[in-house]
Amino acid sequence: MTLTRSQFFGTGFALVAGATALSLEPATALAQPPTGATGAVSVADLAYVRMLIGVELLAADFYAEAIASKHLRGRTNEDAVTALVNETEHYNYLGFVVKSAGGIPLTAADVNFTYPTGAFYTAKSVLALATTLEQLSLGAYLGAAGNVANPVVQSAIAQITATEAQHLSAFSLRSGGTAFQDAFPQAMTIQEASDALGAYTS
Amino acid sequence: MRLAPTPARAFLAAAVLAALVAVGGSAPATAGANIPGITVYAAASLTDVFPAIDSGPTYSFAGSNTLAAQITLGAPADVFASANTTIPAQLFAKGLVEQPVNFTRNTLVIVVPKSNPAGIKSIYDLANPGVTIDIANSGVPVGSYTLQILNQMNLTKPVLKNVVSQETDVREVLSKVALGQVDAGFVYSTDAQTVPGQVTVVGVPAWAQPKVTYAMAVVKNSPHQAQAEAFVKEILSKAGQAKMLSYGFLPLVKPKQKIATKPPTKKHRKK
Repeated sequence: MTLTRSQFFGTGFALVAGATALSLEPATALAQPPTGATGAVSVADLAYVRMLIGVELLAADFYAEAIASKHLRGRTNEDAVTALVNETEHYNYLGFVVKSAGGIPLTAADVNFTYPTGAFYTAKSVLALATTLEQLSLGAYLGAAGNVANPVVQSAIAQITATEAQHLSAFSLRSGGTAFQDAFPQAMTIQEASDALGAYTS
Repeated sequence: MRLAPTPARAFLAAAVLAALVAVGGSAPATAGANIPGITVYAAASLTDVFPAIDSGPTYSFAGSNTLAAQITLGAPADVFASANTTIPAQLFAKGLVEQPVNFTRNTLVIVVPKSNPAGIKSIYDLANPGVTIDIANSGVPVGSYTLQILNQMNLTKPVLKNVVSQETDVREVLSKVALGQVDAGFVYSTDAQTVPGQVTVVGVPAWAQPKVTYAMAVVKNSPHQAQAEAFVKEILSKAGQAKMLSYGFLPLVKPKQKIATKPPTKKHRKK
């Protein structure tokens, strides 16, 4: 089942009361894989999926902290909540892929998240980091979309890439930037994405 | 702490014993409570922290799999502390130890010699031609964790082709890197901290980290059950856990992170 925005505000908002209170586990009520069984997923594809799980955990933790900071107001805060719901659903799907392949997906409890000093001091600083992290997400997903071979997983990654691009547009606009940028956004290699992720996770 | 004596059991391999004695360290003078008269078999990565918690026991430090093999053969251990949960669980299933308890966590890092002759800045650089790498063998927990990382990152083939040596415990890997005999090795983050001037740490991505949990158990045949149980409790105690943290080990449960949502006041800055 996918929660609508109003359902989330009504029943799921308690999830974001604290970053560590957010339990990101596959197959929760928020989970809804966009497609059915994935079939065989190669080790190379799984490496991308695991890296993207790291990206999603970082994004979910960030949005939970951003909301908890109470610096965001009105539609901006609603967008952050929606982004958190999206990232959680992405995580659930990617976790489903790893589990289907017999693996154990990374959880928020396995990762220490690190943010630049002052990242949550003001709405401006929160939105600036949101834009940076969404650029990271978009680059990571674009790289995965061009390299993952399993058609089912690749299709899901393409869907998620669209969502991350929407996030980037929204937060870029709210940061005083423009909604539309490059005609061909830059894809990251898995190493580039992993190294970029490493600045925020340990 | 007394160094591990030569075990009376003649069937234990002499080479293994020599290695055990070689890795046995001396206890810091600041060790806390004292539980003498027991023998603790512990993973090599615990070489520094256990004697710092208690200098009383006789310690044997080596690869967890080697120690487990010795316990299986009847070696006179009272407590077994492993760098994973699998090996103690196997001994428990065989009726050789009491119910194991988890007592700490760790992470893996890559260490390179201080001069970093291969110019390694990322785990992906380990696949570069000509890089020489040392890892622990797959039977040792740290070796198993290393293979897990490489598999999760799809780096197994390109990195393993550069492996020139495999060791029986993590401290041997650390030693070879520190001596500059190889370009890189995988060790626990706590081991890397023991030779800060000799190696540089390169992180392993959080998304590829294995779940490294340590477990310990009282050996069923121990004639010193009460003291052995006391030692386990000592490691699990608040003081024991604090000492583990001070040596870089991680708590069993990740503590809640505190994120500042406003700048520190002048009062706070002064502190």
